[in-house]
Amino acid sequence: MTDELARLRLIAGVARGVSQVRNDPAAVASVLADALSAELADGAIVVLDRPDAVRRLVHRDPRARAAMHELLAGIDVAGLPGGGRAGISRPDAGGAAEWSEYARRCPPRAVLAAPLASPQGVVGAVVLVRDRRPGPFDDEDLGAVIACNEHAALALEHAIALRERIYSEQRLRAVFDASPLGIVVAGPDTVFRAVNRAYADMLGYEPQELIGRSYAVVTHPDDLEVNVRVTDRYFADEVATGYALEKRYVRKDGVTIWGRVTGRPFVDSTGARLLLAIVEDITSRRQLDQARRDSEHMLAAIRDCVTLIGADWRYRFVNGRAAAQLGHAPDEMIGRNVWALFPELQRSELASVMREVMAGQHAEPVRVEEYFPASDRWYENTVSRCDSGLLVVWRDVTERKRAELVLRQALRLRDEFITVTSHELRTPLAALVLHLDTLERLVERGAGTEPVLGRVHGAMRQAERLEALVEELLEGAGRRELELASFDVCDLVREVAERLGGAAARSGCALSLQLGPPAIGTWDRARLDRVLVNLVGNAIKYGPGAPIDLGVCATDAGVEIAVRDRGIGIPEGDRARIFGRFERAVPHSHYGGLGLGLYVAQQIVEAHGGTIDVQSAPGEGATFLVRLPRRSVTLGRSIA
Amino acid sequence: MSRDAPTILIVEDERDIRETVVDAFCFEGYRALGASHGGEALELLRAADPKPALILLDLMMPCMNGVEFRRQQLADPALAHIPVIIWSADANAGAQCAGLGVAGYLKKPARLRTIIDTAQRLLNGR
Repeated sequence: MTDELARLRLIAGVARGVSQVRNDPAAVASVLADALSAELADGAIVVLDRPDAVRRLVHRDPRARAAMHELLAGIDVAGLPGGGRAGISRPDAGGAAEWSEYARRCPPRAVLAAPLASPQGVVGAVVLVRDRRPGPFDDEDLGAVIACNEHAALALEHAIALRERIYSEQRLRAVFDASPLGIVVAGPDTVFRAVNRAYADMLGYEPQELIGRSYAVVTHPDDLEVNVRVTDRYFADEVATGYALEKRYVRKDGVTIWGRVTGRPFVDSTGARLLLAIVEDITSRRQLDQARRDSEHMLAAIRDCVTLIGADWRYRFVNGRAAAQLGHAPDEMIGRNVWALFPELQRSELASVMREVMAGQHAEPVRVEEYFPASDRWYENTVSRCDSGLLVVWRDVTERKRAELVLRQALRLRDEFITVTSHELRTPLAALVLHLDTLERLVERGAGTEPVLGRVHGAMRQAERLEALVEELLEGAGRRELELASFDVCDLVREVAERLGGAAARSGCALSLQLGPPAIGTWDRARLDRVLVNLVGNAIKYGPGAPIDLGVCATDAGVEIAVRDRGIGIPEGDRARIFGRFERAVPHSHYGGLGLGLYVAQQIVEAHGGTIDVQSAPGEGATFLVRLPRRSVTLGRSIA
Repeated sequence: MSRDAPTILIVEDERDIRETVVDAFCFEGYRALGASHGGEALELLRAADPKPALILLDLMMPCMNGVEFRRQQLADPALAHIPVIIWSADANAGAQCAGLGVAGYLKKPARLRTIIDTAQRLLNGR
C-alpha cells in the first residue's frame, strides 16, 4: 500500500530525474523503470520505440530478472499484456507468446500497463509486475504511473527533437562541405563566420585563412562599395528576401575572377542576424559574354547588314544597320520568323538561295545580287551556313548598279554609233567606188560625153556627202572655236531653204518661210548654217510628204528660229534623250543618219549662250525652237 | 540580153548603188531588177516569172530591212530556194544573218568586178 504522499514524491522524483537526462532516451527509460519498480512494484518493463528502440527490464528477484532478459529483450509495445494500453490486468491477460512464457515461469500476482504518451503521440509503454508485494494494483497506482509516464514522454519528445535537429544540421554541413558552389556565412561586420572548401578553392585560399577576415580581402576594390551597400541594406532590414549580384573577386594569386552571389538572410541559434551567400564562378561565362558583346560591337560598326537566322527561320541576331535598313528595331526582330516578318521576300531569288543553303546544298557561301522593286534598290547578298542556321550579310549596291547601267548604256550607244558611222561612211564610199568603176568601163568602151559626165556628177555627189559626214563627225567630237561675225539670220534661213529645197521637194515636202524684219546679231554663221541644215534635214527625214515651216522672229533679247514639221513626232519620254550624243528616237535601220544632228545643234546653240527646245506629240509632228541672244556673250568659247 | 539569161535581183535603198549595179549586170548579159527595200523586193519576187536566180541583199534599209526580208523569203515556199548574197556596210552582217542560210557575203565598199565575179561563181556552181 502506498499512500498519497509517497505517490506525489514518486511523480516529482521521476519528473526531476528524467529532466536531468532528457537528451538520453536510455537514461530516461532507466530512471522511469527504477523509480516505478522501487515505489510501486517488484519489476518493470519499459519499451521505447522512439527516438531509439530501448528495452529497460528490472526486477528485484534475480531469477525473474534473468527470465525477463531471456524472454523480453526484443518485445514490442503490442506484445505487452493488454497491448500496452493503460489498465490493470490479470497476470494471464493477453500479450505475445514471449510474455505468456515469462508469466508461466514467473507468474506475477498483479500486472499494470500504461502507454508512454506525450501530446505528440505514443513513444512506448510501461508494464509493472507484482509477485512478492501483496495486493493488486489500484486506480491510484495507475494514475501515478500515467503521471510519471507523461513526464518521461515529454523528456523523450525533447530527445527526439534534438536528434532531428542534430541530424538536419549534419545534413546541412555535408551540403556545405561538398557543394561545388562557394558558400559563406558573414555578419554585418563583413567578417566571414564560415567558408566552405569550394569558396576557398575558387579564391586560392584555405578555408581557415578566410574565417575571421572581412570579405573585403577577396573583393575587387572597384566592386567593394556596391557589395557593402547591398549587404548593409539587408542588415538595415530594407531587403527582406535576399539579393543577387555579380562582382569581381581578386584571388590570392592576384587574378581577377567574376562571381555571381546569391545572398539570403538568416538568424542563428543565438539570435544573431547573418548572411548566407552562395557564390558561383562565372568568369568563363563573363568572358563569353564579353566576346559576344565585342562581336556585336564589331558587327554594329561594319558597313554591311548582318543577320543570323536560326534553323527555325527565326532571327537570332540582327545588327543595327540591318535593322535600320529593314525598318525595325533589332529587339523587335529577334525571335520573329523571317517569312512572317517579310512575306514579300518569299518569292525572291535570295529566298531560294537561303532555303538551299539551310538545306546544306552549298558548302561555300553563296552570293546573290538582286533588285528589290518595293524599295527600288539593288542588294548584294552573301548567304552562308553556320552552326545555328544561316548567316545573311548584305549591302546596298544600288549606286554601283546604276553606274554600271549608265556605263552599259554608254557602251551600247558607242557600239551603235560605230555601227551606224561605219554604215553611213561606207555607203557613199561604196557608191563612189561604183561610179568610178563604171566611169572606167565607159571610158574603156569609148562611151559618149553624157554617160561619162553623169558618172562624174554621181561621184561628186557622193564625195560631197562624205564631206558633210566628216564635218558632222568633227562637230560631234567638239573642240572647235566659234568664228563670230555680224549678219541677218533671215538671210541664212533663206539660203538654207534654197539649198535644201531640192531634197525637200524629192521627199514631197514644201518649205514655207515666215521671215519678219531683219534679225541681225553676232554669231558663227557656218555653225548656225549647220544647226539649220540638221533641223531641216530631220524635218524632211521624219515628215516626208508634208509641209515644213521655217520662221524667224526678232525679240528684245535676240532671235527665235522655229522649224516645224508634220511628221511622226517625238514621244514625251524621248524628248530629252534625243539631244544626247549618238541618240536617236527611232531605229537607225529605218532612218539612217549618224545620230549626231541634234546633239551638234544643241552644242552649237549653247555655245552661243542660247537654248534649243522641242514641242511635239506622236503623229503630230515636231517644232524645234532655237533662241539665240543677239550678241553672243561667249566670244571665243569652244564647243566641247 | 538573152531570153534564158538568169535574172538577178538587187535589193538596195541607195539609188546610185542600186542603179549602177543593175546597169553593170545588164551589161554583163544578165537580166537585173532593183528594189529599194525588203517589202518591194518581196512584191517583185512574187510577181516575177521566171523567178530570179540570185538576190544581192543590203541589210540596213528603211521599211523592211534585209534580215526581215530573208525571213519572209524563207517562209514562202515559192521563194525560199533562191540563193542570197548579203552585201552590207555593217561589220556585224555575219552575226545578224546567223541561221538565215545565206550563200555568201560581200563587204561595202566593193569593186564592180568583185560583185559580178561572186555572182557568176555562184550561178555557175549551181
